[in-house]
Amino acid sequence: MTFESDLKEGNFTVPRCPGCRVIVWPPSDFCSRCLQGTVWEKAPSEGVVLEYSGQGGQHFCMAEMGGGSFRIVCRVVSGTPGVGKRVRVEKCGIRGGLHFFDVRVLD
Amino acid sequence: MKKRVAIASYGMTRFSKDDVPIESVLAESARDLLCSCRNLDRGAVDSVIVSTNSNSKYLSQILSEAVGIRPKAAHTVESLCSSGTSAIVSAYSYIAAGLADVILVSGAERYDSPGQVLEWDNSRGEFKHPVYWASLFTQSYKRRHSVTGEDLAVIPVKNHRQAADNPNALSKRTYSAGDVMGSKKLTDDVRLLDCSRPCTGGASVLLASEEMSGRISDSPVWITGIGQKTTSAGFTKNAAFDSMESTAVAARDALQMSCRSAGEVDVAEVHDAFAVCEPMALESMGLAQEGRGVSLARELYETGNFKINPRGGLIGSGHPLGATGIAQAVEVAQQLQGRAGRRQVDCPRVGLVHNMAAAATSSTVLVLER
Repeated sequence: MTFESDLKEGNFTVPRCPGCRVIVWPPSDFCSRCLQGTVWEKAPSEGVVLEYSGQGGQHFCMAEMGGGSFRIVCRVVSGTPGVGKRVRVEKCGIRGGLHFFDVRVLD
Repeated sequence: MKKRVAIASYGMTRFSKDDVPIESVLAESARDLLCSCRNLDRGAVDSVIVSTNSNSKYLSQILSEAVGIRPKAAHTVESLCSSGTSAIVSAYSYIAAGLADVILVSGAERYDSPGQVLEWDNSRGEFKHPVYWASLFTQSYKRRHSVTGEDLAVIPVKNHRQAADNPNALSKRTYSAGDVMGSKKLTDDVRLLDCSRPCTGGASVLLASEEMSGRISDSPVWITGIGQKTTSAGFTKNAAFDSMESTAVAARDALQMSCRSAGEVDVAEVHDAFAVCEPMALESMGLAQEGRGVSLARELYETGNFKINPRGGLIGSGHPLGATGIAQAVEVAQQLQGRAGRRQVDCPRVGLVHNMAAAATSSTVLVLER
């Protein structure tokens, strides 16, 4: 199981360090702190908008996921983002060779 | 005790959209340097360091052969947009440590450089082009400091105006705030004229020890302060999006090393990859109070004071990644020597170069003095 192969299947997985208990991000096979091997798990699907902008009538945002575990830049496919608003990953994968995370605004 | 290190000579190419081999761009600025440095015995050049994001190989050796140098050491330095100052710091270190006395540092890039997008950073998702981090920075800065896009337009207006007096600049015209606001909207927060443009260009400096610089140059410019900081490689790990942590640390260290304060800086080249980067950098380095970077730029523009980005910065001059930091150093050296022509700032004594990479995840700051 790897980040890339899972994402290609539409599954969002992240590596966690069994020693430090933290999610290692960007994804890596080992922990940047203690250098132990990581184990893969399902990524938290909810986060909070830290910042946002837009392009061509659609918003994109930076979201802090899983209570501060890691951050991703996402496309907002539903709702209007605002700083502090909650979002949920609706769909993810690899599109045109690029990783994508589509989120819905919950608030 | 480490040796003092000076910029003893420099050379430049015109910045353009020309489709020429990277090897030719490199050789052209080095040739310009060597032609203006008649006292230099090329046999005295100990090392040749190239700065570029090009995928072409063995460029420092190729450059050495092209300009008739047989150096002890020759290699390439790459750190995206801050490759240029990173190469200068590498050369400085060789000389300060006593491993070399004279080093040629040449940076070059083509308009189609592979260094424009950091493919590795998966946390950016599908938003990998730099315009997206610039949009998030801009939105964050505007909200935090209650400024508008129109307020920020003074940055490209000022820098294109200053580039008009730089014969090597890519920009060939001036713009009004209305032109900036009316230019193509790339995102909700960034317009075309808010951006620096990739281009083809080269810049070279010759670094020398105190003993050698006295033989080569009648007006050496000393590198008195160096600060560098990398906070991460991934954009999303920036602590804030309206300030630059790596820049603040690098500036603090560079000024401390030179025993100078931000208030003593008379002229500075600041890494304005996008309009918002200039006020963010000025504030992070203490050259402007927090939230006052835009009003400082407006005041300088309205009074015709070229103190910040006299050559036009990246927005006015163009941004050939590997050459940018070296071109910034060339400009500040010229300013300190009083040789900047129509761009000349009034009697500067202390100059500063700010060069950063990948959404300010790393920064280098140099302090230069006569």
